[in-house]
Amino acid sequence: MKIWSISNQKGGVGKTTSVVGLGGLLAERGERVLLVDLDPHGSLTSYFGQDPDSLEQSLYHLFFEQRWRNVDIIRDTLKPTSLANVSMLPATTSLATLERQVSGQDGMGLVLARTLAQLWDDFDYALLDTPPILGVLLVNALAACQQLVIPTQTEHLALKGLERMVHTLQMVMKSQKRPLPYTIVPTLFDRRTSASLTSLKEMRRTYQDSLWDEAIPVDTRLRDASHEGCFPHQMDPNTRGVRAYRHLLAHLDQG
Amino acid sequence: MNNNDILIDYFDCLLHEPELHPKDVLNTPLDDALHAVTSVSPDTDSDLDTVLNTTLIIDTSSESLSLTFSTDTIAVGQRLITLLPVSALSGAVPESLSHVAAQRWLAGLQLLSVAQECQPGRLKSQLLSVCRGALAYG
Repeated sequence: MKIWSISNQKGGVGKTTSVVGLGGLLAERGERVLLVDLDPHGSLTSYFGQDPDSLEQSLYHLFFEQRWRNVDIIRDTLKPTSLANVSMLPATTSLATLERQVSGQDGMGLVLARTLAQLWDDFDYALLDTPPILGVLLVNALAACQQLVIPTQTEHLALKGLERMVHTLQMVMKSQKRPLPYTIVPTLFDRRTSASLTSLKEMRRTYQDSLWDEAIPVDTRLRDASHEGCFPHQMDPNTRGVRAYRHLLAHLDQG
Repeated sequence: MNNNDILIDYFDCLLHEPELHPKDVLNTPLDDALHAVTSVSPDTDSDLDTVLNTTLIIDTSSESLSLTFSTDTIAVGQRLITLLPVSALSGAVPESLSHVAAQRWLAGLQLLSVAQECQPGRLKSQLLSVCRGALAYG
């Protein structure tokens, strides 16, 4: 199983859209994909028609009640998506209380890694949608993944978030004593605005080694797909956004 | 403490577990002990250094088996296979608990203590899976 975490400590940068976009394209080529929602807001969970306020089983229960030890319970927690070979491990809003519940407990950053280890042969890829805040959930994602994707909106304030994310990553790598490759992905790029062009130029100057050399454009079809609860390529395989995610997937596959 | 120190302490707490005393490991159900020292993440150089520089000596009444982990991972794999039960390799079910099987069980426990010293990583997980085989079927 390959595990990619889609993370940024800033919200609204296209994390969930990237998880869904990449996950759908992986499934299109026949991969078995698991999407994991670690965000208490449950955007990914809602995307596929599940209610994060009323689900009885979620990632929270695997954490708090240590149900990650039982692979049958983990499998029962998974939910279907609009594609047969894509499953989702949903979030509930109770995840927001996890920080307080597990505070001070050693090793709680490794629960997701263990959960995915139990599902190792069930899936080819796991894509992790993380919350936009530094906490136990983001640390779990960073500890479990083999590659980090950092979507970054092409606007000035997002650059500060990117700086913070890279700093966090460096400290987690130091704590874990292992390198973690990462790719910065410019998102919501609108070439008609000077803010987008200036931000992209700044990203290229500062992060030239880790920056993907293309960008995910603003594309209303991506939003339309979330309305329909389907993967973007199912709605329109040739839209600009889907084409960009295809290029990104080809880039990440090389990494 | 500055901001970085606080964050590093936070990450260290979340990403590392308290050391278990070997006695506690042996008094804990096997599955719990294995879970307590297992995690998955890619290998690191420090994992390899810890394990590959370790010499594990297993004394038996019939022979003295010295397993020195070298830097050759293939050799490590071949040596670990000696700890797997015959039944796991051939599919045959042993008729009774033999002396050899008992020795294998002891070897598995010793290997478990070696694995416990390793940093979390795939190598550690593989060591533990061998322990599990040796202890469960030995």
